[in-house]
Amino acid sequence: MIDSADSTSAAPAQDADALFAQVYDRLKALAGARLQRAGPHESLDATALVHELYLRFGRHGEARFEHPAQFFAYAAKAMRHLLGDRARDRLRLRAGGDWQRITLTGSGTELALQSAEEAMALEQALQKLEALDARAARVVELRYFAGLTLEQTAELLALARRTVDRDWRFARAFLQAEIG
Amino acid sequence: MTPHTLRDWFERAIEQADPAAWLLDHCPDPALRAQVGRLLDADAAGAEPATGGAVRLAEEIGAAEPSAPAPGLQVGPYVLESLLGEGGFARVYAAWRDHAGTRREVALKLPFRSVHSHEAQQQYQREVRALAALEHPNIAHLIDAGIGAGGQPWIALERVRGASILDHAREARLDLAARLRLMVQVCRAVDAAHRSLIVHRDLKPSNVLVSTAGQVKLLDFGIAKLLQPEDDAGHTAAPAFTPAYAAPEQRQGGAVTTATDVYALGVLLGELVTGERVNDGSGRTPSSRLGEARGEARPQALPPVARRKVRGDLDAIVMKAIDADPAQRYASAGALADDLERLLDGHPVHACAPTRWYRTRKFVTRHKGGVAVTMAFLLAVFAALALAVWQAGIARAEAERATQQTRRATATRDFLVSVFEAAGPDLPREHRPSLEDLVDDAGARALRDTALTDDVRADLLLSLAKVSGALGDYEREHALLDRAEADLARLYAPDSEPWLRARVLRAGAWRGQARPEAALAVLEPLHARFAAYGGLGVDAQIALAQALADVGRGEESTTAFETARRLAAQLPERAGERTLRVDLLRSSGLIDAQRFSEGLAIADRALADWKTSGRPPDRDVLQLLSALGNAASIGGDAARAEASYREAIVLAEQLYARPHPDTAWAVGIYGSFLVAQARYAEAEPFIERALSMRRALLGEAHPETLDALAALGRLRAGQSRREEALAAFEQGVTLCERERVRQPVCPRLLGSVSQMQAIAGRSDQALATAARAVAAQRELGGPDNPQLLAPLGFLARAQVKHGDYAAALGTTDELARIAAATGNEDGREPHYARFQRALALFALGRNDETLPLIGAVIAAQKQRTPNERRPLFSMLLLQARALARAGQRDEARAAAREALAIEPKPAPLDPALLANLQHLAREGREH
Repeated sequence: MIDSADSTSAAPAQDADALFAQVYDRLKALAGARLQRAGPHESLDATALVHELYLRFGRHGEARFEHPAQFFAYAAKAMRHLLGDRARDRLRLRAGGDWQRITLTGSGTELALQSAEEAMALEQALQKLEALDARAARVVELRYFAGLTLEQTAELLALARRTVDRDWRFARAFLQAEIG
Repeated sequence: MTPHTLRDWFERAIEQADPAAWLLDHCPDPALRAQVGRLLDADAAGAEPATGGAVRLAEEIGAAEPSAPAPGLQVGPYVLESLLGEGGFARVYAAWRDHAGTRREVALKLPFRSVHSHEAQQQYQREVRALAALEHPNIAHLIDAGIGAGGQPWIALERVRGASILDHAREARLDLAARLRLMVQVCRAVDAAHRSLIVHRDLKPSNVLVSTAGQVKLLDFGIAKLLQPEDDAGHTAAPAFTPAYAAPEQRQGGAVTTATDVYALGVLLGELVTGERVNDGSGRTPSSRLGEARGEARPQALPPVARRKVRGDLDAIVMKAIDADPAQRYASAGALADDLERLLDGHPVHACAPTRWYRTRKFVTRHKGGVAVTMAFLLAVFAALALAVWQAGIARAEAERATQQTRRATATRDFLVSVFEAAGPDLPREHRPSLEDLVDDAGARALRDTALTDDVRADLLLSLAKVSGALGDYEREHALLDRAEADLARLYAPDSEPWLRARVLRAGAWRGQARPEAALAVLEPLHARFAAYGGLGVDAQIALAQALADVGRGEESTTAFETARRLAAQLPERAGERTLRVDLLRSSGLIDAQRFSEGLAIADRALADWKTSGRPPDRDVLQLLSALGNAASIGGDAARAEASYREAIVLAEQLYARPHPDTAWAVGIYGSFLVAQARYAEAEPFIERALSMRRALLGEAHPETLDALAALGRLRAGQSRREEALAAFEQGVTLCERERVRQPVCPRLLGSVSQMQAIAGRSDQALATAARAVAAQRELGGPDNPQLLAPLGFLARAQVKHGDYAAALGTTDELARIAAATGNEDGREPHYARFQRALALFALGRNDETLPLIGAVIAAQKQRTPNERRPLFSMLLLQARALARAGQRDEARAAAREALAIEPKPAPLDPALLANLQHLAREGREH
């Protein structure tokens, strides 16, 4: 069984950090630009975003990935961080609740706070899952944050579809039980 | 195959027709069962967490745009008044509070970051406390800080009204010397903070004010660190600093140290003198920026500054301060201040390589009048010098003795400061060198540093050895002592104080390595002379007493402790503190030796004395608390034991920031206590933490690591994970044999192996192993040692299981005799031995003796450990059978019903016995 870690860890660790930083920065910029262009109520398609990013990286030769799996692994991680950062930012707003309550009201805010908490809970649960079963956590990452299907995930990680299905079933139950 | 991981359990369970029922049958651990159960529920519901993945969440969360809190709002005890400024990391408000009827004004900083996790909040509070402790007339004081609802931190700082140092210099039209004098004040203040291990991190003109009263005030000392957002792992996500004044290493995300502040001071100095920031990458000197040819007005520059005044020394000072390599800068802000003062006084500055010509030039400037000297005058000077040198030769011997202490103290302090400066007190936690690294580094420095004299070096090595010992790193302590003793042998007579200090440290290291006989070999030949050494003699006497106790020479140990107490009481200084220490150590020693009543009496007194003395907590108190917990636990006072253990863990965590054998001890002993209380789920994290700490700190064959292994075995046994339990015990026995460990834990491990063999029904093996355990303990501790109680208990059990009832009675008799002789009648071992005795009596048909005994045992069991139900079940079973045999059918029925109420389906019980019990519960008699 080939774990995708083999392909991602092929590059030296330092390069991997740099690559990740690069993917993250680009993704953040791209997502920011998209959100601005799209306006507050239009949707942002993560899958399209990640794929566009992949194409851009390929086109400009900005970073060399040995395998698409490596790119998607990074992109998923980058998305995960992006979401975490954003959720934290949003909760921080509420943290200033003593003096923010007046400016931030309405159902939109409630939803935003709820989702931010959900995102933080997801992040924490995912960290626990990582400690327990790293591969299952990776499947979740690719599915949630890079928007891949289970089929694509199996292909990318060079795993049998059956294995990925089992990973997903366990991960889903675990996360659901954690988040409640 | 039994599933091992949560996932295994989950996947096996979902294959079953009725997963819940299967789980109940196969998974004995209720906590794990509940966890798997939750997974099964979630799986059955088919729900997906965070449906829609990251995209939906990201959209819903939206972008966060913080808006400014309005004046008039209350933050902590303060009311916001007006916004003073806003930076990249925080807003600052003028704020006030009502303080005992007066209005107290502060600058209130509201960082944009929030502090959520418990760990981050603790870290934040620690930093705040460190900053609040920093008091200096030239540093704006941190008055108060807190974390509001939702993790919003606030920091109240002394409000300073004044102008930035640059504006002040311009408006007051200060000349060069006045400006330099201001900078000296700034540097001294920064240096003082550095000595408290606080780095500013963001020194810039707007943080260096001159108050309306003309006093220099540094703002935001160390605050930058509080403003930095950290991610969950404690990594700094975005360091807060001002790029224009940031040192290269800071901009590159490298280590921020005191040298970083020195760099910023250099930039500030350059700007104060030239009106330009000198770190623009041009590498140009300050003086070249003051070229007369340059026409543009630079308001902040010196009014009529003469370029030649700046050229040379001041150029050199600035360039040295802003060297790209932190190691090439001034070693401290104080050194920079020194150089500025030398410049002001016209002395040679250290920034330049002091060539002979350079010194001469300085001499000439300083003594302008005397430069026109004749040859004759020079000769006269030389003659006078020669006379002075000769006279000095006579005076030196006296003077040297007087100044030696001061010199040594100064040299040691300077050295330690240099070590801490090199340690990078502000490095991110994961890059910060450990104390062990520091000791290593300091040891290497001490040997390398040619400025140190031999006696100072020996002093330092001894201190470092002591630190190593306190860290539990005895190997390093031995190595450092080896090096120090080489110097000591050359410098001092063999009965000098430093030499005895080295011996006492050596003995301590041996004791730490569980080699008390080696410690005794060091101390015993010297003990007649201890009285002559004051406090050191008391320490030596204590070490001797402890080593004697370690090797089982109890009476001599008692005498030695009494001598130590007498010596301590005679000390001219701090006698109370020393006698207290003797008491603390003696009582823990007695308790460790299981002489509880004596130990507890002294301990209670010592602890009360400690609490009234106001002495801060230390290792001795920690040890005493753990020992008290042990004594209370063995004596059956669970509540007192638990309180002592918990207090000990809290104290250990206060005392040691890093993993330490003492912390592992406090954690492990509490874990063992919980196991004994059958509170397995609570015990597990403590037991595992103690074991991994000890393995890492002490190695796998250290007696304390073996203790932890034994505790793990007991935990697993309690959890009915019997194979794992047996494996843990057997691993311990193997280590004992392989490493030839001769410690009480080894017979105990053998006893536990025997117990597990008995439970597994291998009663032949169990009996043989228990006999081995008793023999091993007798060999180790002699015939009347309380440590024999445990192996004898195992032996009695094995004998009962094996059907050797008469032999079992002999064993329990001996156990009871030793327990009585050592004051342990109320302990756990005699209690269970009485149960074994009752079993044997019943089996031998001595029912009249069985009945009162089992009644007493059951009463004791209910009172001692109400949670431990399995033994109670067996005890009730025996009682029911004995009552039935005596024809007391109602009572027998009641006992049987009580047993069944505890465990309706006792798993390990053989079915015939269960049927018998059920019959008893109905009929009050056996089949």
